[in-house]
Amino acid sequence: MFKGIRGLFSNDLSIDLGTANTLIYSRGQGIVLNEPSVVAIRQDRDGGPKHIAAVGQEAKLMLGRTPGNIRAVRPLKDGVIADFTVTEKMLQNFIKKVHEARFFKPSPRVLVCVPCGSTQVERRAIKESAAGAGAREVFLVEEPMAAAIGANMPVDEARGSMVLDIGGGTSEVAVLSLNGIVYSASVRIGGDRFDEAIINYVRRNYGILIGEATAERIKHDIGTAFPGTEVHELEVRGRNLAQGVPRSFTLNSNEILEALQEPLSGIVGAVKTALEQTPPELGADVAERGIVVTGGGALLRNIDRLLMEETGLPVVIADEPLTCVARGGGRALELMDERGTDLFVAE
Amino acid sequence: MASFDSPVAEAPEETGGHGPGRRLRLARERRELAVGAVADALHLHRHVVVAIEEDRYDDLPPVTFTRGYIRSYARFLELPETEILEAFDRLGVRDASPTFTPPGSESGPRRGAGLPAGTPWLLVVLVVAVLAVAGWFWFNDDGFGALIGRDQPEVGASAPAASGTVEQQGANATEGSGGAASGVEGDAVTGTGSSAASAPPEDAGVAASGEQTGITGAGDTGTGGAGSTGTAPEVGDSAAAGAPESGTESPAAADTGTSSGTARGASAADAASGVAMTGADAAVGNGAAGTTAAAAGEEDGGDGAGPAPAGSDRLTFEFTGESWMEVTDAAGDRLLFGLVGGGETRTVTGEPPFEIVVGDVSVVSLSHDGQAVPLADRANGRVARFTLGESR
Repeated sequence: MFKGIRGLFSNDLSIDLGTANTLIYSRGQGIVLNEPSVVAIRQDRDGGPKHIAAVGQEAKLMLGRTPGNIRAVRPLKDGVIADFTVTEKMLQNFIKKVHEARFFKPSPRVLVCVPCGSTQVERRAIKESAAGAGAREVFLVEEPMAAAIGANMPVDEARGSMVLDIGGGTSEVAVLSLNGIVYSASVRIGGDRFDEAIINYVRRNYGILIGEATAERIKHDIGTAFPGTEVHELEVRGRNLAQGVPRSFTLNSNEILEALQEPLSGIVGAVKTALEQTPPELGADVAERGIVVTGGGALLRNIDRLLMEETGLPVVIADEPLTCVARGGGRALELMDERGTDLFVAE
Repeated sequence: MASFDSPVAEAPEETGGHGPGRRLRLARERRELAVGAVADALHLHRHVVVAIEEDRYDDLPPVTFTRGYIRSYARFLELPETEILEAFDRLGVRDASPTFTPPGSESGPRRGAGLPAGTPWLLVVLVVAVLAVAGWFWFNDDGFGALIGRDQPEVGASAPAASGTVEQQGANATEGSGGAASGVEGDAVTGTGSSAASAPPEDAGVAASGEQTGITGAGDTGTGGAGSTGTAPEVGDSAAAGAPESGTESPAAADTGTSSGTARGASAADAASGVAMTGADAAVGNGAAGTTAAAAGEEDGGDGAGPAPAGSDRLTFEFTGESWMEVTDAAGDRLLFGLVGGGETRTVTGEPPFEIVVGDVSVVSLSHDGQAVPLADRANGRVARFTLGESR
């Protein structure tokens, strides 16, 4: 009952609990939180109690830079929970953060977007984690559906629409029609794999070790998925494995393109498989209108060109691709209220 | 290409249209690219490219796709995509049919929908207000009693108790407000007191006394007297009979005592139990009067605060603060029981010895038949539990 009363003072939330970033969309307010899914845990002595030292952006800055008593961890891996307790604490912190000005402890209804390839166990873990973080009601929606709604695709039409959501841990591809998922597939390739590929490439070709944060910066600044007319360069620093001392060197966009070939081909393969598996009528619809790309991976330069060339279909980058899933989840929550049914809800 | 040379293609320019189509077309022509080349590069149908250049968006897929096509087209031509998209947005193109409205879907009840903005706080304010009012009544026992009419039966219940009666004078007696004084055996109750003194049944006369309120009215209007007299008609003499004491206590009391006495308070005086206590809220004046009137009624023809009947002792408690009180006489009658607020005075009459519990001796002073009784000596901490008086 108290949760119900507190619920009056809480906003319904849609959470894109991503491997790399967690986004929260609050009903009537839009995206109210966009923080890295990172938690810094402090343990002052062995076997002693653990405390949350920082969450989100602050914790991310600590990644790879922590002293012995602090550990910065990413509680989600490949789109699913790797550390249940830490995820719960992180969610608790985020939910509290978006209700900061409230007098009452928040108890919102929460919709969480889950990868379509996640297992029942993984979904239950996410659900319980959200409930443990204070949610009075938890709904799950599959990420491709939320992404499509967030991208304002006509998912209600009797017409096939294909969406590709490239997240931090997973990439989801789905064909939607009449508010349902006709086909979906999830590959555990995403932004993290891009970073790993860059780290491996630099180590292999330069004999230099760079950190995750540096790899991510390289990806953002000069990463590309398709050869362009311009070549971009970036100076980076890493530790020379042979000499053991820091060294700086210059990378260019063509090298990064080469580094990203393996994970990109995995994503392209998933899209091609989806096209093969799609019923012909819906496949024809997709061929006419094209594929919509959402998620952080959509910001990789020329990813649309790559997909266009590989599939021969029009490819569209959604507006604000990073927030599509969270916004779509929020819209789904509103639609569920309007209809009075558990539309879109996954179990 | 025929489509580019058609007059339709120039329409936006002629009509002053601000869509991105013209700019895209001009950029394409500057590069000497054919529509087909653009369509091939973007994997679009030619008619889509033409429609974009002509700003005919009704023929194109939903806005999400159209924006994507335009963005790709602008990037292909190396135009600033932000400006092109802004130009498109200015056209205010919307999807013909709103999304997410499947045919046959009916709007169900909104589940868990948020309340209108501000409603939760309004609810909180209302709840707090209700709690505050309830709390006020709870802590102001008299007010609560008056509200729910609880005092009456309580007083009535105490009426039969032969000797002990309590009349409380409300310090704030307000004029005209009236609960009912309780008459013994149910008769004659004036509209004045909220709680009443009771008299033994055999004597029937009881002066009603108001706790906080009614007394005043009684004094002024004589209703108090009426009440008391109503209960003891046969005794009728002596309105003024009891006057001495009451008179000494308060002139107002004397006056009213007279009036009520005329009405027939005397019998009440005979009634052993009658107790009058006047709080004498001078400010109000008539409160005291009313009380005294009651007293007068009880005690010998208007003796507002007359001596205790034979065999009875009078205890007077004066409170400077809130204290729990419990007084039981030898007959086992509970003469005083409850929390008494500061500024009040309570007088009880009963058969000694009295079992007394005083919750906070620091705020209570006691006199036994006019003799001060030190409480501090009998206290254990703040609480005093003791027996007063000797059995007769």
